[in-house]
Amino acid sequence: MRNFRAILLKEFRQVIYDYKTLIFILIMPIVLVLLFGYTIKNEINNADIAILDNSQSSLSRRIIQDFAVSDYFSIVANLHDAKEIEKTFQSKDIRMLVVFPSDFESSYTHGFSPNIQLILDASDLNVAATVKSYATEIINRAFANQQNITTANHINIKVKMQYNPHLESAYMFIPGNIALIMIIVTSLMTSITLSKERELGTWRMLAITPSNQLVLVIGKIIPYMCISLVCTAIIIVLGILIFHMPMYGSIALLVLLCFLFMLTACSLGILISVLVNTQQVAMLVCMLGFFLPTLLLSGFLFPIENMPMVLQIFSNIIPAKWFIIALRDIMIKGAGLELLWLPVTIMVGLTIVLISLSVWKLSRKNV
Amino acid sequence: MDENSIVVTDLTKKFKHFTAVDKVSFSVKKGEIFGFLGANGAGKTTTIRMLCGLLLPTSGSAKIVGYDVINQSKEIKKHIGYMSQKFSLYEDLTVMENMELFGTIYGMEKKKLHQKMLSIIARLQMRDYAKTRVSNLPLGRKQKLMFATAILHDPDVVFLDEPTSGVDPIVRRDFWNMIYETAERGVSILVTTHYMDEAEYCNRLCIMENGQIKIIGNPSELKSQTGSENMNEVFQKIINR
Repeated sequence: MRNFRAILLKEFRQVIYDYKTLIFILIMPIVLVLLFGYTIKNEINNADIAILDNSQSSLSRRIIQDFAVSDYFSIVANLHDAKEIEKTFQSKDIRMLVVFPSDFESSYTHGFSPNIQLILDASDLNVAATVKSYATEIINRAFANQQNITTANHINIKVKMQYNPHLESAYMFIPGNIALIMIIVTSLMTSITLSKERELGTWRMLAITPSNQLVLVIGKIIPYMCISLVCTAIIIVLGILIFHMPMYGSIALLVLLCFLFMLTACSLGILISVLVNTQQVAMLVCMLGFFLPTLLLSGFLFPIENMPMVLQIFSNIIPAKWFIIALRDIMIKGAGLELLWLPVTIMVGLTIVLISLSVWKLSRKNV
Repeated sequence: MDENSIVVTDLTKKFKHFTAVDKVSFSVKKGEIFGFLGANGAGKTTTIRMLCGLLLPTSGSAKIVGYDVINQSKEIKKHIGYMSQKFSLYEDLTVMENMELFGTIYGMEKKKLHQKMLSIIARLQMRDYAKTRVSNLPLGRKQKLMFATAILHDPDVVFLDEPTSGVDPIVRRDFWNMIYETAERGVSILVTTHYMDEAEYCNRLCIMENGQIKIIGNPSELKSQTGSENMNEVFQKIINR
């Protein structure tokens, strides 16, 4: 136990002495969140939209007026024919087209639920989802302000996702960022710190001591676990405060889940450090082998459903995929453990496989 | 426990088709300085690694202070010190922090460790450097610090793998004085070297080639056996035989 404390103290000292790296690591999540957050958010201000008003009624004009005064949208075209739709999407680069059918007002005055169709450019998922939710909000509010509203007169908003029928949540980027940061801080730092010791020969000095190697490894990586938990906390707080990420689930469960993913990320880092001999190679493998798949194949930036079958199957062994699913379920749906058993089981399974591989490989390796 | 700290019998290590160490036998007495001479790749480092319990021998046996390297490596590790040819202390930690780390890992009691550290720093004349980061030390001081760290926990046997490579003659002289002081306390020292003048400092030594021990004895024995003037000549005659 004393040698565990000794190695822990040593590693903390090294982290603090290398304070420039530490500051960089702590700033990174802030930059990432703001970068992802605002690149998505900014586009929703004054999104270009077009209107196709077939009813030419006072009710439709009132709704169009609401769209026009809103900060979120600016109307750049008024269409007169459905044939113009495709052309407008192509030439004006609009985000959304609002279509009022010719019977829009009459069905409303006759007590039926009137239809509105929203056609969205969903080539950018996150923008499309946000545009849709803002438009829905404006239309619903316009109807709520109508005095003669009755329960029967609900509006039917028909949404058509142009170009990309599947839609993922706009809250993808907070869980995605946490996964990225965990991979960078935990996997990358773990593999670098371990392969650095091997490269410099200091690991042999430790291996020659009577201490258990596993105890030394654990002592070494705990500081990085702490840093990555701090980073995760930063992202979650920023996500909730600035980007209004909902938090419906249990915080304890959230912390547990982050802890689990951190173990998975750690075991990835340990495995890499066992397989390679130098820091540079470890860094390369982490970037190409973990960072890119986490970015591209976890469902963080691109929906998995739209990938080729091979990549869809492959995405199942990307731990970040399951972490993101579970994290979203907790934060947005308020899911409990009964809904999370699948992602959690897979993450636990992956961690066990990775650790066993490392231990097996380490036992065959000469120090 | 008998007088021999190290007893090696027919120790062999094969890597696939390559025999790195071939039936090596020797013993080292308590307080003896035993030299290992040989070109690079002669099998010196592999032998040391087996004796330290870092590498399992293919066949043969070796005992360090009575413990078997094959199944008592954990016990052995408590009784040995090791210094590699590559500088391997933590450059970003201070002199004191490095010693504290290794002393604690070896399970030394805090008070005793602290006294030991202070006496080492006094011996090395490094009072002004105690809180200096190791990376800022000159190479000679680094080597001496590394040796001091290797014997911090009072081991019975110390393995020195080319400890003086790359340091100037004055530091080497100083370094050997430290080795003598340590041996006088009854610590057995096994040292590998390239430098033939250093071979003269050993109580006994052996010359290794292609994993085998070619000749073993004290320096004057080796010289008279081969009819040589100095160790360099001995080495040339043995290797070219």
